[in-house]
Amino acid sequence: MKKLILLLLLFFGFLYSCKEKPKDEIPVPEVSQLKARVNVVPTYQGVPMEFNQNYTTQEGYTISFTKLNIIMTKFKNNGKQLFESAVYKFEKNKRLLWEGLGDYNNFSSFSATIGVDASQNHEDPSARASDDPLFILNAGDMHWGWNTGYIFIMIEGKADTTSAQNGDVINFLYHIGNDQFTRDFSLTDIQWSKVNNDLYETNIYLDLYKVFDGASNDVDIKTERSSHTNPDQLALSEKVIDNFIDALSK
Amino acid sequence: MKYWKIIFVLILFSSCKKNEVDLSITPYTPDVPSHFPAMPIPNDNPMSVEGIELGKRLFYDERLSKGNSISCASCHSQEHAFSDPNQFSIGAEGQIGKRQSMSLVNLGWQSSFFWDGRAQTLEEQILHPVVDPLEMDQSWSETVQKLQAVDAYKDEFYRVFEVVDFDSSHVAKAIAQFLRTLISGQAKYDVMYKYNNSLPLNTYEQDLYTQITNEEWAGMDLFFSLNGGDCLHCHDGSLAEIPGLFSNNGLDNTFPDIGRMIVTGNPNDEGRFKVPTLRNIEYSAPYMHDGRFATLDEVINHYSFGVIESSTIDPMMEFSHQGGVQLDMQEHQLLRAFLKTFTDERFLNNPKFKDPGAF
Repeated sequence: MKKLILLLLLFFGFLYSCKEKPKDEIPVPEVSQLKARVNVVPTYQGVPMEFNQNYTTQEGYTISFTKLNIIMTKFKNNGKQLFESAVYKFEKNKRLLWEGLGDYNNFSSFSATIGVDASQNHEDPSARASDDPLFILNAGDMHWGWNTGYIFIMIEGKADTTSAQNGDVINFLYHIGNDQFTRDFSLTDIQWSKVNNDLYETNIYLDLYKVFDGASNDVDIKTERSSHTNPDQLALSEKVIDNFIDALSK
Repeated sequence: MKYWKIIFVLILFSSCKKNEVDLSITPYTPDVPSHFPAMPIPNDNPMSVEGIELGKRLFYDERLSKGNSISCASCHSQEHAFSDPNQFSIGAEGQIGKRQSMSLVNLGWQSSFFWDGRAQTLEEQILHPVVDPLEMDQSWSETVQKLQAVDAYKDEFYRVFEVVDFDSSHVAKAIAQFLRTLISGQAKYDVMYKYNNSLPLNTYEQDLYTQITNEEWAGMDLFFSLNGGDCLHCHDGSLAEIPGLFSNNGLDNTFPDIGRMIVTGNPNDEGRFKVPTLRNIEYSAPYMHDGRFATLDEVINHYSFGVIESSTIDPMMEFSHQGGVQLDMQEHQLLRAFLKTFTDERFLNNPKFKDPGAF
């Protein structure tokens, strides 16, 4: 019996000694989970815009805004894309365009598109993934129909265009879409600020004054109060979208 | 002898066994039409066959009201597209409501409920009418007490939610599950939408397609024309509506009912109301938040000639300065014909939506 116990002890001792010694564990580098946030900050001549506040155009009209929606797509730099699409709907104190995983270091400059390119603009908006900003329930009223596609920018408001400024207001609205009015733009030397250790954000400024007082084209609300990008509104639509692009800055 | 004893004991155990209740539930996936977006289902209320059945029973149960006088279905009847033919619904004790009952259809895609959007989820919406003094006028504690007195409800709530002491949240969840099944997507309009977008038609839809008249097609063109009916801004897409949209559609220039402003407090929301679905509109009269229009003709006349400007009128009402879109009689008839293409006979007659009878 003693022999048997001795043999068993030797056997297990042998097994233990054969056990591979653990190697020094190589630390696995922590995968960066940096997040980025892109805001749009609407302004009017440098002052943050608020809905239903009065502003003055170069013609002296008193105007106020009631809606500002934007679709921005293909935000990228040097072959790296931060996001494919984002739908911005301005509300009080709401600036967020997009937030998600992404390293801000890769986007010291970027290019992006206002609108949806023709290859996607006429796809079924109901068939998109439910977390896609262009999914019909997320895009909401930013979609006209399959043929016409998405509304790229939507600017609505009220204006007193009377010479006496007597408070007699009219509504204005600019719903610009259609493939021919997608517009690329780019900004350089982007400043990202730290929100917390994992999140950095940047602002894109939109000066709405410049939508009406453009670098080369003015939009006079009195005579150009509305566009749904109809065939007979293409000239106005082009002015609005071009002015809109010029109104964007870092 | 020994074996007889064993058999006797087994029989004894078998006879003492409590009546078994099948407590399993069957997950349910909503039957979403192919041209609709995916329906968002809240994580905390997954659908089940048993949950839907329970919700349907509750929807038709008058115990949810004071004096067991009315059920949800009293003001949302299937034959009227789950709305109320009365201008204002009658409450549990004969009280008159202040707004028209909205049609309950395709609610799974909605993100705001009631004419003023005061509820943001279907489950939240269901909590309101029971305690509303103008509607079912009964506290939730009393409602739950009445339901808990019914053994069958106890069993079903336990089966669906695994709770013994169910409460208002479970009642709301069950009814919400049933309401999410009220899907209407097989009307002529759906066939026209699919045809226009080159989507395949099933056999039933192919049959419907052959029934669409030239008048209805012309009415559709008018409906979506910016220089015609100009209706598309608020009623568009496969759902024929834009979820979450509120609008002042030019009914008044003073507002005894301030609508959305009640919720937001924003003066710019005064007179704005949720844009309702047009699904089965032929059967959901009367129309508007206050049920002021009894017929589709009155509605079309409003948008043609009766629009009233105000400080909060929707900028999409672009012809408000001339009182409306000025449809002539022929256009009026075409538009009316098109509006009837939203009628979904299968929805209106679906036996799965009918009263299952009380527990």
